[in-house]
Amino acid sequence: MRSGIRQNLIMASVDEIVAALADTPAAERVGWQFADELSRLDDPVRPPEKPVPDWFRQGVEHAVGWLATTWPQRPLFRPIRALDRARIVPLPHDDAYILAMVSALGDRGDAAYRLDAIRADDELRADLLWRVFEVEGGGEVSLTNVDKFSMPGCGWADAFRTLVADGTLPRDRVLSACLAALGRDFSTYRAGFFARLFDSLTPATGELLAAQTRLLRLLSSTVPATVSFAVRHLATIDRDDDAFLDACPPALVVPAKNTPLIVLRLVEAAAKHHPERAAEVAATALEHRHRDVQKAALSLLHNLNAGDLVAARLDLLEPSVARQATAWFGFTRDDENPAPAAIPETRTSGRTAGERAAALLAGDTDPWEIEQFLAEVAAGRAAVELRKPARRALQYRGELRHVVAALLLGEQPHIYGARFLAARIGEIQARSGPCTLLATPTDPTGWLDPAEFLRRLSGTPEPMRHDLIAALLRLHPDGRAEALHTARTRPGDAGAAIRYALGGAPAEIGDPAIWVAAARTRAPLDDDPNLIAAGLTGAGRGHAARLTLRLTSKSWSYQAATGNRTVVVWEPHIDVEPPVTPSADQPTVPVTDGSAGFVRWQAQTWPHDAETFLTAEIDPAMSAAYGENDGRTPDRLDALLTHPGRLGPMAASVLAAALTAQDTGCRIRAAEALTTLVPHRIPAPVMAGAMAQLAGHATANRWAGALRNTGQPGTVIAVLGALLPQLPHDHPGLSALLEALLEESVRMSAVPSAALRPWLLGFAGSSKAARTARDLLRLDAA
Amino acid sequence: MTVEQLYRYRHPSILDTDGLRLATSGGPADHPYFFDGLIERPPIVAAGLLAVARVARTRFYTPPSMVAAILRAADPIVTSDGAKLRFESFSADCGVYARLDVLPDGLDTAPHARGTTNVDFNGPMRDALAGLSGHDPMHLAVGDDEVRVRTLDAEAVERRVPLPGRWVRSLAELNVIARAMQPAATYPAAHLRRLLQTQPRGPRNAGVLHVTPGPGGPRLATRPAAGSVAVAGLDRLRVVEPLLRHATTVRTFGLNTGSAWLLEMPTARLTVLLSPAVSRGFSGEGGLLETGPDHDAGYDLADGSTFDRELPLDARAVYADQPRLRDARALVEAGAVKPGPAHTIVESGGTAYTVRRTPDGERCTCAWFATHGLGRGPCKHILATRLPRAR
Repeated sequence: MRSGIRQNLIMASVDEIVAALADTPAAERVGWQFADELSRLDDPVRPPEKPVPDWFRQGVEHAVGWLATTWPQRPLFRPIRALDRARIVPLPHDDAYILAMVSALGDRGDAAYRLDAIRADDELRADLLWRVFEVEGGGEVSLTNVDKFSMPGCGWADAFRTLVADGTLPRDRVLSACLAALGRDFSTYRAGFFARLFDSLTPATGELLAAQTRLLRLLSSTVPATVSFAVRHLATIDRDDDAFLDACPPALVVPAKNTPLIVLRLVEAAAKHHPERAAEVAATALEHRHRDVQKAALSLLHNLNAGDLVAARLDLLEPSVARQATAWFGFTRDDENPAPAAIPETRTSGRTAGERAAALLAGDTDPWEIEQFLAEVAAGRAAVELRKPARRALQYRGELRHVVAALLLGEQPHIYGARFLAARIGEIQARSGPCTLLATPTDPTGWLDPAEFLRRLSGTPEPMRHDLIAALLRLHPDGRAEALHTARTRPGDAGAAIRYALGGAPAEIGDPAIWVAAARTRAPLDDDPNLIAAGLTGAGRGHAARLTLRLTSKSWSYQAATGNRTVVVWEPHIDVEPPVTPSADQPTVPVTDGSAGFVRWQAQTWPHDAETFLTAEIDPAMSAAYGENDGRTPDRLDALLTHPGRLGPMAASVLAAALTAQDTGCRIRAAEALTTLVPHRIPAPVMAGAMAQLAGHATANRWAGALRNTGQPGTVIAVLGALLPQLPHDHPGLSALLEALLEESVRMSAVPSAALRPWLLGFAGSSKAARTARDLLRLDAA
Repeated sequence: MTVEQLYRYRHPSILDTDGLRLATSGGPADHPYFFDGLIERPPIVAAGLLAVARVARTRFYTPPSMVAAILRAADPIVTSDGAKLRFESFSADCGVYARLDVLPDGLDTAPHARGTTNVDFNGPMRDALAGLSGHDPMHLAVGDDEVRVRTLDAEAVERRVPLPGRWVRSLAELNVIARAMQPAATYPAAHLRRLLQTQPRGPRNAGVLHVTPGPGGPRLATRPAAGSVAVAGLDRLRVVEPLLRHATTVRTFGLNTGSAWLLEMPTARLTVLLSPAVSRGFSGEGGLLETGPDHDAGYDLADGSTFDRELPLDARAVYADQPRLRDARALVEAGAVKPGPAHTIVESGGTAYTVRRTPDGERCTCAWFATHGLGRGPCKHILATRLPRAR
């Protein structure tokens, strides 16, 4: 009797188990309940007194099906196999049977169960065991998965090694079965088991030679790891050159560069006897994505004097490799076509109130549409017939559609992190009757035409306070003088503030929030002496905000399977000067925590300046580098792209953070935003400064990939040229950034700037980064 | 609505030293016999058949409510037009379509019969195909000759597969969608392989990106540009990856955020169509709502031609059962459509939706229209306003 679970079981005969199960409701005679009961079966099994009932047979069949898809971590296949061998419940030896065996022949924590079962079962060793190399499995049940979650020494691979070592299983058959399995149409994850098992048996050279045909066949596997496995073993034996050259081209284009580099070395060796064929094969490697592979192939083809083969693939080469090819072979290369411009987005125009409300309820977050919707709500023209769809949309708390739904239903919306917008909405909901909103923009980017503002104001004797603040903040710089003239008779504190906003004379300050808005639209980025004199001090009030980003890091270590690992997490802090306390009615005051839920809408609150609203967006934008994030970085980037006002270090920091986002689409969007905004809206040094500051947080490879994907070499060169001198020479992933700069420089026939040269000269040694730096410096000479 | 498709094969398909023998089921006969000859480029055909088979047994999208879908895939179909052999399959989620065309110069003799039938693509045969290599022509039989038929009774294979109604409708929609697709850029196959190899794998690639021509090869963008096509779920495009080493060029075609990818290979072509979103099958695209069903034709983007294909399905009646059209008819029957001078009110589910005509087409105030516009065919409310006029 084995240790573990069975030790605690009361063993039973077939008749006893049938009797016990007969008392169980039929609905419970399934899955683990049935298999669990079976596990009490005597070992060895004794024939029953009478034939087992049909429901018992079916139960055993169902148990096989259940085990084929579920890993119980216990040897529940033993009684099934025993019933089958004794012909008490004969079972078809189909794929499900094999998978049930994979799943439950052994125990997760006790190697002896599986070993004993195999040793004691002749039929298993002769036939069934070998079918585990043929049936792939999936989900919980596969050789790979069972081994991955079994205790060390208790997996299938351990069993095979033990049984080969003690002679129970023929070693050559196990090796051969592994290679056969690797040739099947199995997934990468599940194919890995067979490669690991083969390797762990450390096949001798003679065994590898005998397996050469199979190994060559694996070079065309669709699983890159299998190709690498085959190449690794073929490299150690005396190969049949003809067969190798025939079989190896697919291995020259697998994604990882090491495999094709090894293959190229083997091709080079074969070239001594088959130069022409070797050249044809090597040319395939020019199609590889990695320039190191391309360079190695080009070098070999140069040695083989095979320029015609290179010429046919010149367009596929990285610029630096193509440049070398043209130098060696005297080619001329056609100019590349520039990347086509993106087709401008078309806005749906002419929507009715109902169509607009429906679009917003369906998830549209266009700030223009929400402002038009607000105007319709205020004017009493909202599409109240959509109350039922609105009721459904109300569940999306934190999304704009929730706010829209609440407005349609006349309920109070839940708004987080957008206190000014919440106040505007509350004001609209509390109005006494239909009215015209002052703040509705006249331009999709958020601007309000001063003349239109005055026209609306003339019909609004008592404007709503937050509506007036919103309108003041949106006033476009053009047309203010004419508007000031129109506003000359506007009475009261509000009239004076409006005139002040439009460039009029200072007056006594009444409502501070209205005067702050007036000052921030009058001279958005300057200190206002009148407000300061009146005591309305602080960033975004009387003073222009001075914003500084600082990053601090926290690190901790933990023990992983591969050793001790340290994780460093960077945290942003925004220093706001002069100090100020945020206030719901003063949206120009920077808020450094709590990202706005509706960032695109929030961004248009103050079209003069994007930096203020972005202070709260850097932290969540940096979180996009990890799997868990708020998913709103695309919205942040859209807000940046469409914002008409000042962009600066905060905007650059959001871009730099988005460029290292985990999500591919997010990185691409960030790179597009970068090429749109740099250098016209964000100077390249500002962008580079932000990237330098976030370099510890960012993954350099992601930056490099995103930048190269832009198709805008000039911008890439400008940004990297300014960034690199700010990074230490041992910065992780630096070589990827240097390679990006090198390739785009060659593409543009550009040379490193004078500012970059000393930094490039500062490299020592033979690291990849150092070599690439030297390649960049050589561009000067070229 | 689900219909059950019964596949009856005389024997499992097999690849052995005698070549590839594909078992057939249904169509112009119970077990049609289309082809018996040599194929010129076995590795290409093998890789192509594996790609078709992989699509057939893959669910690229699993709805959140469906934790572990147990998939019984529909078998691929093969069509012979007397010159070419076309192997087609469709993913279980109805969002990916693949077709391998073995061209006349890839066959040593013309197929001797025409028609469409199901073919058995079992696991052992796929495993054998995966290990196929060598440049020598290989024997291929689609169906069995009379001599062999007499020896096969003991090997019969029978399998019932429940086919969702949307699977069948998706197949019918494909023809309309393919016709509407616009040609975009053509790339060397190596360019597409590089693009795919540089992108990470996994569910994070489920969004829509645009493959755009650029210096040094195609790149990914978030917005369309001249020559670009959209890819919803880049991982779905990876079904072409094993074929790229055989391909010379890749032609692209686009329609909204859907796309088609045509790999030109010596003696063969592979066409893959991707639906406009990972979560969207072709069934809901609504093309048939505008054109009516034309399910007995396929469309070849390579030369812009149709080809006859009488599907060997037990479920053709499902074509006409478009849920939106069914709902629209119900609205009309219920008297929910109230035409007015400027617009029509359609009362549905307790809400009065407004449908109006504009120079760009009809508009509606429902969530479907707000989300998709007319890009997936009209909503049921617009359809309902059309029905009374048709009467």
